[in-house]
Amino acid sequence: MGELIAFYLLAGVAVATALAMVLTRNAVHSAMFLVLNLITVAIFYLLLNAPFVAMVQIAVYAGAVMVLFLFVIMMLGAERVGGAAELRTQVPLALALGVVLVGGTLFAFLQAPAGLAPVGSPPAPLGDPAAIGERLLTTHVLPFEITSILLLIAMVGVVVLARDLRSGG
Amino acid sequence: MDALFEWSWLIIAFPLLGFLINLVFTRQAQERTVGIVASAAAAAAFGTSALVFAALLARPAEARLVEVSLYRWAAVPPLAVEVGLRLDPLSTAMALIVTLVGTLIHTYSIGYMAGDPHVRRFFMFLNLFLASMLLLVLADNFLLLFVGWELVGICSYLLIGFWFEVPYNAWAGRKAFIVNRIGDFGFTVGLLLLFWTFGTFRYGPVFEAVERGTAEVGLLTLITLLLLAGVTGKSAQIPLYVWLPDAMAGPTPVSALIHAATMVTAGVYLIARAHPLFAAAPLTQGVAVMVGAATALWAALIAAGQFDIKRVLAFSTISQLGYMVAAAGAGAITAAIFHLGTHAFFKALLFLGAGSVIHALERAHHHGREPSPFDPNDMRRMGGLAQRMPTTAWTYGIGAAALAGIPPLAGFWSKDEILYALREAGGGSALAYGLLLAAAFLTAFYMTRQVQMVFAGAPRSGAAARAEESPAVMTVPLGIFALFSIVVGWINAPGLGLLAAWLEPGYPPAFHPEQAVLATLIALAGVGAGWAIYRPQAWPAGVEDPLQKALGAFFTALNRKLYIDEVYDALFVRPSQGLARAVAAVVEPYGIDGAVNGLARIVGMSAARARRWSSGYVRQYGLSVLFGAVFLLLYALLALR
Amino acid sequence: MVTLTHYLALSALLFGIGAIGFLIRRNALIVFMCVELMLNAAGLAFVAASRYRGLLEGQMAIFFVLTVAAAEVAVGLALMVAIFRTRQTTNVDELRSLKG
Repeated sequence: MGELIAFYLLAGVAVATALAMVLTRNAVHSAMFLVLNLITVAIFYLLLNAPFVAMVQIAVYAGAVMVLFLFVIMMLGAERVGGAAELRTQVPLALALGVVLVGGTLFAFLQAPAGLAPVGSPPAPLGDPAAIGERLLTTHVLPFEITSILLLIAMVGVVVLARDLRSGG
Repeated sequence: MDALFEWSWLIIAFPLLGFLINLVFTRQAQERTVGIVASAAAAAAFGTSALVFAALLARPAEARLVEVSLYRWAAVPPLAVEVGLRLDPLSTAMALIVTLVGTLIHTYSIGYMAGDPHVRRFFMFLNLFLASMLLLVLADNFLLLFVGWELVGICSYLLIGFWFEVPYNAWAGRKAFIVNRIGDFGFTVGLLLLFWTFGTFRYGPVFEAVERGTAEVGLLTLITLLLLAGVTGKSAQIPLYVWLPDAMAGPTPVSALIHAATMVTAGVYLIARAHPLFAAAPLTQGVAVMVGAATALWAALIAAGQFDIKRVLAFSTISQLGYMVAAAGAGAITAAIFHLGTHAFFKALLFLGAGSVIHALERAHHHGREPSPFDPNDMRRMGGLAQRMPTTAWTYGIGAAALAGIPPLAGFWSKDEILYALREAGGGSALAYGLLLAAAFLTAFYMTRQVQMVFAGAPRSGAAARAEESPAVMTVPLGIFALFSIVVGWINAPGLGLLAAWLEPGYPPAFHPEQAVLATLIALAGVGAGWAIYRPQAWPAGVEDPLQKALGAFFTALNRKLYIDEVYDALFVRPSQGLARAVAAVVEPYGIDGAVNGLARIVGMSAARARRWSSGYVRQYGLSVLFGAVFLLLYALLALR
Repeated sequence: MVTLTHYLALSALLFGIGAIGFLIRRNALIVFMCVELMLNAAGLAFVAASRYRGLLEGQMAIFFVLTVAAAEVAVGLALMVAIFRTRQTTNVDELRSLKG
């Protein structure tokens, strides 16, 4: 019972911040709302026996990525974007499609076998960092390595893309 | 000996080889070589034909049928198109005639066409024609015969319009081809019906089926009538004879070979070949007899009113073909083929003689100072050529007498047999018999008229006064033909009956004195009338044609070919041209172009509309992506339940 | 009690909001953030499923999603910086030279 209330409360916050993020004019405000959303989701992770992931979410996503966003927003002075909208059919169509999308997926979920109740209590250390680490380096070592190369490429790419051609990088 | 038959395809191959050699290896400048190659090819074909003939002769009469299968052209069950030759008395006799006359005319052409800037093309087409005609004659199935039939039609078109720089010549070629096409349409439908009825094109199986009586008479009648339509086209009978007079626009050797001796006889050959079919369809036989007889008289009338030397001969050919068609229609195959053979020789002789005259007049005009234009074919500008061109004159006289049916020359025997066959056939043939007798009178008359106008009396133009005899390469064939015109009739004279023995063993020709006397009297009457009107003494000076003066408007009608061309023009040609113009003006731009251009326009317009999807807006592209995702989702939800 | 369906529904809703936002907003940076929202929603679904099935795989997945998202954001923002240098705009509608 309490769990249900907690869930709905947090869910409400998550949806509200998401909506706010999408609808705010100011980009900085948007970013702040997104941060809130990410933290809410992190709390959900905690509820779902994934403490390590929750921490990583906060540290990396809410921490590093969003900070990067704010940096760039401020640097580019992109708080507000003016001008009239040019694609007039865009908004109605997007809304319509979005509604269909959400409605359709919800319909699909509700068709699923009732509830999908949790399979008993999960083994206590489900989100145990040691277990995750062990998995990373054995079963999932290939994605792990590829992802690290991906990060390297991203780094190099960022440096190349963002260098100032006038000052000779 | 039988191994020889395996090589019989060489008969067709030799002229084809001549064509190819001239196509690839010789040049226009090597006039002599071109002519020699072509004539040698024709001679080789003749030699091979003679050998095959001899080989067939060596066999007993019942065994004179050899079928040589060459190769299978196409096989789509139930249709199998085979290429093969049928060597039997009829086809070998035709092959001999065709190759002999062909070789002589090739030789003659070397002299006649000398100096023409396109001699090489001429001989190529002539060889090609010979090969096509031999294919027609030696084929062992109706379809292959039709292939040869069409090929000779093409060669005829090419040769009639040989000097195509003159618009009239090109037009004449087109007229010949188109009129023939109309007959060929009938032929084609007949062929299809034939195949539908019998399941095969080959002569053997078809004739056997007819013998067994498995085919229904109505169907056979229809088939033979349709084939007869093709005959009226190719062999210039009513109603499709109109192309032959204009075909005289071609060089004279062409007129001699194709439009007298060989191609036009293909129709007669067809009737002879398909005799079992015609025998089972009495209605068609009756039609053929009447058509032939009517044509014979009609054309003879028109011939009497012509001034062009070749036109007279053209209508004469139509008339004589009428004799042959009537005979074949009555079932008298030997008589028809006999007349075909004799006619080939003396008509070729007459044409070559006319060519000699035309040739001489042209050269004489060239050296003179008379005003142009000068028509060397116009008999009104001739006269007195007997002194200037003796060889041509007496050979021409022999040819004319043979044609008129004066005994003992060739035409007498063959015409006599036809007349007798028709008299004996009874029924409606009595009318045909009468028509043919009248035509015989006219034949003698107009030939006498022609001989008088051309060779007797005083020259009526400067060119005629200066004309000189033609070179040996032209006069020697004339002499050879003249000899044949005298002798060839004796082959099948009663008593000898060689041709009858060859073609229809067991039916030797008998001598019928009363018929012979009647025919001779009629011929002499015709000659007499012609001499009476046209002898120089009775011919007033300054009058172009005494008969014209006497008959007035009737003569004009004869001269204008009884206005048939005008009638056809009004009934068929103009409406067709009008229809073509209407289609070109309306259907083409609005219908066809409209459809095609319209299609292009539709594509263009839809492309313009569709192009807006690539607007460059990222958001719009994102919308497309989402649209796709939603579509897949809905599909998964609804269709994959 | 809270079932997997609840979490999946929430995830779908967040995803939908992110998608609509992606299509509606003209500020390029906000569009990026909507993308992040969508990725996040997917991650929520992963972890929820992982918990309800008792498997660890969902959490592994979110790891990689997170990492790739970070890399993608970095590169994307670098691109925006480069574009801004020449075009002086972050309005997505003004970046349409790839039209055909």
